[in-house]
Amino acid sequence: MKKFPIATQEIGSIRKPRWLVKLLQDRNVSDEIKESARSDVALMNLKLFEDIGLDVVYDGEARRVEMYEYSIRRIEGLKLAGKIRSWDNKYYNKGRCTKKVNYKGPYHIDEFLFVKENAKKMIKLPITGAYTLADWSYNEAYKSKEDFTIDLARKVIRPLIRDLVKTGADFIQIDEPAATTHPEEMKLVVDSFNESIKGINAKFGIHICYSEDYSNMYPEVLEMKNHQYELEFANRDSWNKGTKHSNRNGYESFLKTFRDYNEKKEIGLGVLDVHVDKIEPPELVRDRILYAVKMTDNPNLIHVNPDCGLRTRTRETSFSKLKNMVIGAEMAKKKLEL
Amino acid sequence: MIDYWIAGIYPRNETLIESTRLYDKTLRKQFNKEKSRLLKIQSKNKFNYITDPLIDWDDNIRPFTDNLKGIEKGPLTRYYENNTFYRQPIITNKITTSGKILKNSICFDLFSNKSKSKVDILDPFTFYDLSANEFYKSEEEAINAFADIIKKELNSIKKDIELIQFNAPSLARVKEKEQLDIIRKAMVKIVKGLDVTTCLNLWGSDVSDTLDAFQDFPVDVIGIDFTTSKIDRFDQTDINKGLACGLIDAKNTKMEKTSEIIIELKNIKELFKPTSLAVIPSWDFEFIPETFACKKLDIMKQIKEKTRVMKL
Repeated sequence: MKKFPIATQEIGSIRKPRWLVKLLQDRNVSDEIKESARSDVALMNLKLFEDIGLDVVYDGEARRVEMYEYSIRRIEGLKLAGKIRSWDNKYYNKGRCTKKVNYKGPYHIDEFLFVKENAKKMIKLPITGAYTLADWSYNEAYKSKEDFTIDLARKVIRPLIRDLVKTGADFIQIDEPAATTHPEEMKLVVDSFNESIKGINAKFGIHICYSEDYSNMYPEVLEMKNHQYELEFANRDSWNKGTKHSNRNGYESFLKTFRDYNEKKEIGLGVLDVHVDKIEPPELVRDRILYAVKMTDNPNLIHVNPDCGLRTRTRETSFSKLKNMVIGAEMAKKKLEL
Repeated sequence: MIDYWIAGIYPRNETLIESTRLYDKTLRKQFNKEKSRLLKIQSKNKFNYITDPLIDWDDNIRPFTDNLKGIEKGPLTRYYENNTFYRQPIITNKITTSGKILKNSICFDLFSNKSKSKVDILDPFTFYDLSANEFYKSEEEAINAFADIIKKELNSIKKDIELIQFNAPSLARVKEKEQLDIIRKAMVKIVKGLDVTTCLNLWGSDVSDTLDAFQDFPVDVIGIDFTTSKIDRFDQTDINKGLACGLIDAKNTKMEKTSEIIIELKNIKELFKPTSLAVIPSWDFEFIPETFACKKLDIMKQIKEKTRVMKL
């Protein structure tokens, strides 16, 4: 796979246009029209990402209702329980496991094939990982969380990834936002990740966000067979420009640990806070990147992305943020003479 | 006789979720209507203390984050190990309160005079632990500052309530004796002169090896989350206070069997020999959907009825 430093990428979701949401809610509109509308938005997202200048793209998860619920609906043994607060007035549909899980067949193939047919840039396909599916669901069927998680990894996620790779996916981001919720369960996170990709040849990233401290992943995470970490940092960082430790307090702890363990995996560096409308200036993005390069001493390890999916922001805000991210990355590359 | 009550934030129903999402103009009216309904259910179920379901709170600390002076609203931060986030309070200056934050955030006007009422508030350490301190020089100073706030807040409502429950998920994780002593002293300051029954609810963590340290805390009842603290792990079981047993799992949709809960209650009573016994949820019910919380309230009602008949 082609390698290039400071590649810019999206993490996953972007807000659906209002007209699409309205159309999807309209019971008088046929499934065929709805699917066609989803395709239009997937294509529009893809082209907007490419036009902005992202190096690695997908479709903004235009066909998925939400990263977790979409998967829950497609796995045998899981069903939806109802809505639970994520924060303030934002809710998600939480699942319950009422019997042992099983693979019902691939659930991202069609969207991937559509992206593959239309994308000009490198593709990164996001899927929701076993640990997060287990951690966010009520377990009514298994004796332990370990049994539930590993069963999901072996019986659902691995066959899914195998089918996706057979179809041509060569870079898969496994979304595990729950990974650092219980630091004492890091071994389970690593085991379930490795079980999920066992025997499959592709590039694998892991996306984790809103951890108290990513350093808690060590040393267990060294055993994880991922090639990239896509992590949230901007949410906890200052808005001051500069590459001193004091300016980059959101990045310092993890990058020091990363360096201390002599890690050689790539970092998808979160440089955009997805929970605020304020647009990061390109100079701030540049300095966050330069700081990461300074700490790792290897620009090839640094890729750039928002902290998380941008679905909580308006499309206008999201694209403005992404545009500045691309400009900031270019400024960093220029400074580093890459 | 065993007491029953619920605690913390109760889940919003589907209509309220939609209304809050749309910032519906009638939201306040809807909140009050739903609060009245939930208060009535508690009364009908004959729970011993009736509590505001706090369905209009955006998180367990938000009224204080919004209204304390010296605090700024910080980033969205994970609420313990849950997939739920709260706005972290950032302490940027000396914190002060009007003393009316709790008074204005609890629906006292909807409470019935016939029922005993209860109010939930975080303990001073949990307040501190959930915040980011950029002002106070030490942890002790900040904890004491929160203790002053809590005391002032409780003083303004103490005549309206019969039970104060200090929800203490952060405190439940503390193991160090020196740190516990600082928090205990802050609690002494808070409860002095309150003259209301108090409960320190150690939810969310296994306290089987630290329970003894909480015996000196100046409260009447200790709450233990028995879904996390398994009975057979406790070194020390004799307790010189009342015990509120978090036996109703507020984090799982699996329904409890009343017979199993009654057996656990008997075991707890025999092992801990508490001065009083209560059954409560293991945490806020807001971690399960409203329809399941509703079923769990019914299970609590059934257990209450059975234990009453059994004279447990």
